[in-house]
Amino acid sequence: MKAKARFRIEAGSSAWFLLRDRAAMVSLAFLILLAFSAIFAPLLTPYASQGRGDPDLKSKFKPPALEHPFGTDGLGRDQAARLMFGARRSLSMGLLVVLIAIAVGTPLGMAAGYLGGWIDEAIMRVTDVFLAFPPLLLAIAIAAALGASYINAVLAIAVTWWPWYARLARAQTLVVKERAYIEAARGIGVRDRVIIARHILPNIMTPIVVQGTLDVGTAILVAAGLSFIGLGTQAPFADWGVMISDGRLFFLSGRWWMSTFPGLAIFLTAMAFNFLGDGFRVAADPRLRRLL
Amino acid sequence: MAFFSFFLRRLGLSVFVVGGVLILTFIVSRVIPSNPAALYAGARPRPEQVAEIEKKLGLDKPLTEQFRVYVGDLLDGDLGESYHSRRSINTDLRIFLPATLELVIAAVAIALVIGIPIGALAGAYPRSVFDYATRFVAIAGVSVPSFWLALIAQSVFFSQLGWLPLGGRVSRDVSLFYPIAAQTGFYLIDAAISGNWRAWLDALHHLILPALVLSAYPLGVAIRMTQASMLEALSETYVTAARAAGLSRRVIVFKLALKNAIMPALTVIGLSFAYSITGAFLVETIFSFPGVGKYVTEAVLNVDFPVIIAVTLVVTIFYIAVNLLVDLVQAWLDPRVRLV
Amino acid sequence: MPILTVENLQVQFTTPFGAVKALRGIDFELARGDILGLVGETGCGKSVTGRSVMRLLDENAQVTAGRVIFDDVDLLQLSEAEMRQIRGKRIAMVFQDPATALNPLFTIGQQIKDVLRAHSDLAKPARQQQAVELLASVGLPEPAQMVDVYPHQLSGGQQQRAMIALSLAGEPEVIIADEPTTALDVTIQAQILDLLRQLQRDRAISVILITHDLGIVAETCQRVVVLYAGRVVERASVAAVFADPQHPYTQGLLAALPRPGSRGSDLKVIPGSVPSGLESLAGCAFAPRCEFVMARCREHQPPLTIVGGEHQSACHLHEGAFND
Repeated sequence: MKAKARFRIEAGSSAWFLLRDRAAMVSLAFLILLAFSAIFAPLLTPYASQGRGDPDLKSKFKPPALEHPFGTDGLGRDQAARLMFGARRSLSMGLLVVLIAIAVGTPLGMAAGYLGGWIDEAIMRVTDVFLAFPPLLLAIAIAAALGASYINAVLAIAVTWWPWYARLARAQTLVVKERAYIEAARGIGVRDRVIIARHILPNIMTPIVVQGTLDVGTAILVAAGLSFIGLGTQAPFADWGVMISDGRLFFLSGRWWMSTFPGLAIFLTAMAFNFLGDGFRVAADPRLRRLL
Repeated sequence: MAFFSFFLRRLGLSVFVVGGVLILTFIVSRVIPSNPAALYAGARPRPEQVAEIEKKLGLDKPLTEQFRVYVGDLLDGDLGESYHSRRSINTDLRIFLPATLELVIAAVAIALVIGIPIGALAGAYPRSVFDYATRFVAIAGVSVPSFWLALIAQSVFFSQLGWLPLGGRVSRDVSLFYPIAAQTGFYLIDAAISGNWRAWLDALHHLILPALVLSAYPLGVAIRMTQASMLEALSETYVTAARAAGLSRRVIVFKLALKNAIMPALTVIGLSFAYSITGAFLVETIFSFPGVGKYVTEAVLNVDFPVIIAVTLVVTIFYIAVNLLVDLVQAWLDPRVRLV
Repeated sequence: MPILTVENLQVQFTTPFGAVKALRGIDFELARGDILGLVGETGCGKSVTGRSVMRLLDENAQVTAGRVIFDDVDLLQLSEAEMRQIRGKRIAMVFQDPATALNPLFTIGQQIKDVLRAHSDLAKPARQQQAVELLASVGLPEPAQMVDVYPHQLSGGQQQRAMIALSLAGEPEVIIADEPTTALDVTIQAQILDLLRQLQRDRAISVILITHDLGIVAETCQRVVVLYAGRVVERASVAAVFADPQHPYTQGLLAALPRPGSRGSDLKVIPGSVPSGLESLAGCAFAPRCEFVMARCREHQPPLTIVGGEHQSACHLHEGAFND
């Protein structure tokens, strides 16, 4: 009973609002299930080796049935296994892109906002240049320059993404910087590095986490796009983008299942991250709670 | 005059950004690759080809000198040559760029014409069924992979219903018997100028499906942004003041608040352009639509690096110009910027 | 007969923390042609009272009891469409910060003309004419040019004059002015208060002036209602309240008022703060802060009692005095 009391969620707190957001909770459950099936894929499917790319030429192009609930592809591989193993790559691509972008963008943005002056000017002008490219386009160029691979695709997308976090972190830092306790800390000579790490960072994390959650969905879409045109995950492995690409030539000739299910997987996953991010956003912002 | 100084500042920033874009594309093409000459020579080059390219690109010279030549060529309007087809990229882009722009403009128009009113309405009636439905549609729009949606759309509107063509820009018989006299490269404009209505209709027919597919993401963004700014505007004191003055809800929402909500929503024009372009790179191949997207995806398959960099540069400069224009229009519409 | 009567008005807000009582039953009357001051600290319910009369409360607020009688009609019973015929046309409102209460993207003239179109049959040219006249009547210079000006091109004082012109467009009988001078410089404050007095005099408009500043009340109002924690604690003519404040809270507010010759250190501050609407109040809401607090103050809510003439106060201190 005591342990329970410690975790009681107070009415009106952010967590309370999040728990009441049904769409966000359904999304969270879906994502947890998805992550679970990706992590334990080898244990959950009898076709683990096919999930990693091994062909089974005896059972090519099987439509969905009990044996293969999502059918098989042109090399006879069980699509359910491919989807689960593909989830490992698609999900990790989205997460990695956002984590790298946050890890690079946040410190730069905080430095710009906190230090101001020419450092601020320099960092912000660099973000201007990066954001001048339509999304994906710069990523295509960089991925092509680096050579087509899973990790290069992640790096290429992350390079186009960090400026958003630099801008967000800078804007939030400017707000937090004006608070009295930070001015006081500066006044008594606390070092800038300490102030940024101890006082500013914790106070700007909420909007960054909110944006990060929303972005994972979009990053998965972009990563799938790069894989779709051949600049991401390489055979024999597959992510969901590759699977759509593999199935696309057969799609209109009746073998609809090969592209349909991976597309649906991307669609639902991106939606889930968006609903969850929206839930975070509303729960974290008292003003939005009132408006919505 | 405030607007004029804003104009100068904004223009200066754009010029600066174009300079940055040149440097960045230079870095991507010459510094990041371990062997740029091999990239420029395409897949499986012979050693003497590589040597020739190295000499042509001046890769033995210092980077600053290389950059000078790179910018010099671009200023001359020379985008280089495709490794794969050996054609001038300038010539190719003159055909492909208008096609993509026509497609993208159609997609942006669809996204804005549908998205802004729907978003505004949803923002005006928060917590209504319409609001929830709209939010769902918006999130679906920004979550659906465009290249997958393209396949589904083809299956529904071509295979099942047979309403729309599978792909291409015009039907074969139209291109044979009613060819469009190319002037601007925009088929709808060219066909209209020459009064070739048969071809005009056919081009429109081919444009609808890819444009609809491309509009999904910007539509979602337009809905969300307009809805948010409408909600924001309706929570302002001047709305309470208007209610206190006895103005009807219709006037308050669709006259007073909408104008305030549209201002920030104009930003979505630039964003819609960007997202439609992005979609075009993934979708054009599926629709066999001969634009820069298909051009680039084929270049990726052929490891045709000069094409990738040239398209990146040209499309980005277009995007910068669009954003500049949007910002200027936005500033011009806002009396707080236009008048001191 | 009063032009506006508020009876036992109770309002509460639904929040995730529970129901918050903003008004716990307030009564007052606005006499025709008067300026009535509605006074109290932040959070005592002044603005909610004004909004309730206009039926402009936020969606999470409900009026749980009471009546607002205007011209023999209970405004709380009217439909939204009927209420629209009251708002702006018969009761108008002036807001605290004109910079946010005026729409930044429309000219002053457009905003006035919108109200004229809603509440009069004037044709287009007549509306233009009328807008210019309204701007002239609130003392704005060059009114013919002012109609085509955007709010951000005016000074704060001019914006508030424009806001008042806007509120006059429907020729209302009552104006509710919610802290109309708080956002303005001190010198401008006096001019705006002058303007309100002039409107009351020349147009026979009755005014409810919501303010936290007893100094403004002294200068501007005929009668005053002092609110504390959603209840009326004292109401009387301004002269009576200033000469002989009865409620300890009013006395505290007056003691906190700077007077000519007083130094900073002479100003008294009432210790503590207004209780939140979440708490249920058994006795007198002011008891925790009151220097005369007695045992029964914490148990029984003191009723409003007549302490002389039209002077009423809600305090247990009076009971002994008048029973004797």
